Formats: sequence, structure tokens, C-alpha cells
Amino acid sequence: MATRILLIEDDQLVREAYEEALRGEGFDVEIAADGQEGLNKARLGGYSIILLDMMLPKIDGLGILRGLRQEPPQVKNGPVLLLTNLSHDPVINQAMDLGASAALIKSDIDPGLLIESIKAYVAAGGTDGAAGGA
Amino acid sequence: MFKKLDFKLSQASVEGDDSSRALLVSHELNQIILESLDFEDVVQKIADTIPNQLKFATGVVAIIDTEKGTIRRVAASRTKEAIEAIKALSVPFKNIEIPLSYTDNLIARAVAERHAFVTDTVFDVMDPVLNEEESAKIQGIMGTKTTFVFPIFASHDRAIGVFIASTGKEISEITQYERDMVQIFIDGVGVAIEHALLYSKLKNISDELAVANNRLKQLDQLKDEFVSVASHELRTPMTAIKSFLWMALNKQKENMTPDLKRYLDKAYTSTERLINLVNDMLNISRIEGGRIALKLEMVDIVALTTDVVEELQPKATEKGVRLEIAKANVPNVLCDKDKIHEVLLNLMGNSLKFTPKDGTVSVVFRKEAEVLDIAVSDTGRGIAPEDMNKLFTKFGRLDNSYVAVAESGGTGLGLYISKSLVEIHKGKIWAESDGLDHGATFTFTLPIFGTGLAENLKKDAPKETSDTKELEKTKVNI
Repeated sequence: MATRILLIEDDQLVREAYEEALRGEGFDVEIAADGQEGLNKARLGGYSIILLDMMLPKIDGLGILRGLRQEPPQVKNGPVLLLTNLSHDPVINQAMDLGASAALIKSDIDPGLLIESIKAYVAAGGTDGAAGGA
Repeated sequence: MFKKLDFKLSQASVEGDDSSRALLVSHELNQIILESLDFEDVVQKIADTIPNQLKFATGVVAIIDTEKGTIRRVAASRTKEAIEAIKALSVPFKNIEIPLSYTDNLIARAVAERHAFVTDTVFDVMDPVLNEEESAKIQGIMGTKTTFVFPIFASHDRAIGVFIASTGKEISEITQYERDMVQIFIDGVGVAIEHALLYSKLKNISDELAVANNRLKQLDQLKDEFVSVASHELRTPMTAIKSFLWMALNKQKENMTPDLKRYLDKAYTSTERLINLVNDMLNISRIEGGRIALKLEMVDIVALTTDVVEELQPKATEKGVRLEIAKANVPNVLCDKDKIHEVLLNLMGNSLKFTPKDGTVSVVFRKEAEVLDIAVSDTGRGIAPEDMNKLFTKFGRLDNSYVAVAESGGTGLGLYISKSLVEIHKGKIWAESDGLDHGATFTFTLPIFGTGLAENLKKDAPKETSDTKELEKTKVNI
């Protein structure tokens, strides 16, 4: 069963780059371009990994994490990995407190590293997306 | 600087309560001088004293404005006569300004000739602000017959204003005693006025400084915010560029000509350099904004250096350059591991970058009393003498010179950051080179753990607060 990934990222070019790289690796990728769309899709549940940008229109990353805590989906999601360009910002700690598993600085990594990280988390948590997470 | 209150009493004019009045006046004088530094306060008290104590109808203080070359009324006694007269003025009291050059007016003349005058006509002290008719009207309201003008002198015998006293008595009725009392009083107030003027100037300057300082703090904060926001914004397009280049280089290898691969490789390297530059700028902004704290601990510097060597080994092997550490008996140091890691990475990375195949980069440790010298040497291209003093500056530029020091890559900020980090540890950093192609040695110092120097550092080092941040890690780009 293909790994289902939810990519929540508002910058079009960054989103396209990651989407194509991840699809090229055989992952099943769904996208959201703003926070509201992101929260809606996340609530449907069943994603192995959620890649979450922190600065988003409509609802920000923290808002999404809170929303998922308040109303967890019926079918659980896997880990939430923050994909952000904010470094050493208190917002990151807050996000970790709200259930995010890790934070990756986009400009510091390349798609190869992102793919490796995703594979590592999926392997650690099981492949059917039923691992604990958001 | 008081003139002693040592007056001669003219026998014919001694009145019974003169000596008690004399005491009261001198008491008032002391009060004025000692009590207040507020200018308005001081001149008001001066204006009030003579009328109060010597039964003059009005007292007026006028002060010289040296910039404008005029003398202006600033305070009047709160006697009935003065209050009524001021009400009747066609010009606001504090606007009555006489040019010092207009010596037809007794006020200007008293200042110019440096002695007191007396007149029976108020016009003589109002000309040219009020005409004769208006002045006569005012005099009528005041009900006065005689007006004295006394110049007021301060330190260095500088004239700073005049005192104008008017009385209902005729000139002939005024006792020598009364004149003397006024003169003695005037002799004393010059200093009080001068001090009050200086004090208000100081307060103004102090207020202006406070405003300027606040503005600077605001600007400083705006600058920090700008650097922070700009840096994070720049990262977004860089992420996209880096990602697509990576995909081209890793997912389209078969479709690529060698030239195309070369172009894309170089573009990818440049992107990394760009990202490093942004990280460096963020770091500098944090360092200069005082938002870097030190997490001090006892550190095995040889172990830390070995970690850095491991990080650089792949690139070193690729280049054919040897990395060596002198593993002699080295005492532990007191430092922030992360920060010194960055310094070592910067210095050794630089050396590696500038050293050709078959060269060597070596690290040597030297104990110098309470300090450990850590010297990173290479057999690389060295440093030209004229470039030596540009090394640790931002972007390797001094003032208006556009001669670039960082020739092959590097952000030009690494050494500046290293210097800043070493100096936060109260250490020193310097470079030595025998010239181009003769290699270079960069040395920095750290306090040895357990020494007095180390204890000082523990005390003085910037501590973590909610404002402090970690450093962005720079990727080695060789």
C-alpha cells in the first residue's frame, strides 16, 4: 500500500517541487495550499505523514495542530513533520508541544533528505498510517 | 560667589526696622540661591523679593538672549500694581524684548555701561516697545514715581540681565540704605540665575538625548526585525531553486549532457552559498543584537576538533589534503561547545578551501598561562600583507575599498562571525602568514577550565534569556 502524504504548503513553487519529488519516489501525495484546506483534509485522517508549513494563509500551522487535537480524525494520521523556514523560533517549540514530531528547515535540506526522513518515520511507525501522531 | 553683606548704614537714613529687613532680604537671597534650580521659580522669587521686603511697588526681571542680542522680560512681582499694569499692556509681558544695541532704553544702557540707572519715566524702560503715551498710561496704573534699573552680573562678571524696580516714592525720598539693599541683593542673584539657566539647558539636552536614544533603540529593533523577516522570506525561493536543481541532478541524470550537468552543479553550489550567506546574516544580526548566550561547560577541545575533522574528512580526501591534530597533553577549556564548533569549522574549512592537493591543514595547541592557544595552520595560498587587516571585517572590505578578500567563494562573513564568537568568550583571534603561497595560521584563545580567567568568563558571559537564540549552522562549502 502506497504511503499517503498530506503536503500543506502555501508557496506554489516549493509545493510543486516537493510534490513532484515525492510522487517520483512512489508516494501518494495530496496537497493543500492554505491552512483551512489543510485542516479539512487532515481531519479526514488516514495519512502516513503530514508535512506542515507553519506560516499559512487562513489558519496557520499552530491552528491546524490545535484543530486536530480538538477534533482528532476517526482514522488516525501518522507523524506531523514541520517543514518551515523559521529557525529557532518559539513557534517551533509550541508546535512540538502540540504534537509535531520533528522540524525540518526547508532551505537546509533537499528533497533527498526529506524523502529519507519520511521513509525513516514510516518505517518506525508502521506503514498503514495508524501510528500515533497529530 | 556672594558679595559679603557688609554694608554701611548712612546715619541720616537708618530706620528702626531696617536691620531686620536687611536680614530678611539676605535670608530671601539665600533661599533663592539654595532652594531651587528651576528657572521660572528662581526669577519669580527674585522679582517678588525686593517689592516684598522693601515695599517697592513692582519688581521685574529681564534676561539677555545672547543669540538674538536682545533682553527680554521674564518675571514680574505678584504685587497689585504689577498685576494691574500687566493686564493693561497692549503687548504680552513676556514679549517685551529690547535690542541690546538700543541704548536709548535704560535697560540696554545699563547692560552696555555696566551700572545702575534711575528715572522718573517708565517710557525709558519701555521704549521702543511701548510709545510715550502708552508708557504714561502704564505708569499711571502702577502709581509709581521712580524706576531703578540694575544690571545683573554672573560669573566672570558677565551681564546676564537686569532688575527693574519701581516705587511710589520720589527719587529724593529713597534712602541710600534702600539703594544699597537692592544693590546687595542684585549682586547675589546673578549666580542663582546663571545656575538655573545652566540647569534648564542641561535638562533640555538630557531630554533630547533620551528621545534620540529611544529612537536609536527603535531603529535597532527595526533593523533586527528586518534582517530576521528578510532572511526567512529569502529562504522560500531558495528552497524552490534548490529543490528543482536537486531533482534535475538526481532524477534526470541520464538525459543530461556533461555540460548541462556542469551548469546545474554550479547553480546548485551557488544556491548553497546563498543559503549560507542568509544564515550568516541571521547569525550576525543575533550576535550584534546581543541575542547570543553562552552555554559554558568544560570541553575537551581535542575531541571537539576531532569531530570537526571528521565532518571535513570527505571533502579533504576528495581534494587530497591531509588533516592533522597534534594530540599532546591538552588541558580542558571552558567554552560553549556549539559556538566553538562553528569557529573551528570556519577556520579549518577556510584552510581546506585554500590549500591545494597534497597540502596539509593542522591544528596545534599551546598552553599560555591561563589561556589555551588553538592554532589552525595550512600549506595553502597564504595571505598577502595588504590584505591582513581586512580579514576579520564584514565582507572583507574596509570603508570604501572594493578589493575583495574572499576570492573563491565563502561569504566574507565567516571570519567576522568567528572573531565575534571568540570575543564573546573573552578570547583573542589573529592571523599570521609569510605571504602569498606560504600558507597561513589562524590562532584563537580560550580560557583553560578552572582558572581565574575561566571564572571571570562564567560571571560575565551573556546568559540565556527569552530573547536569545541559537546560531544557524553553516554548511561547509568548499
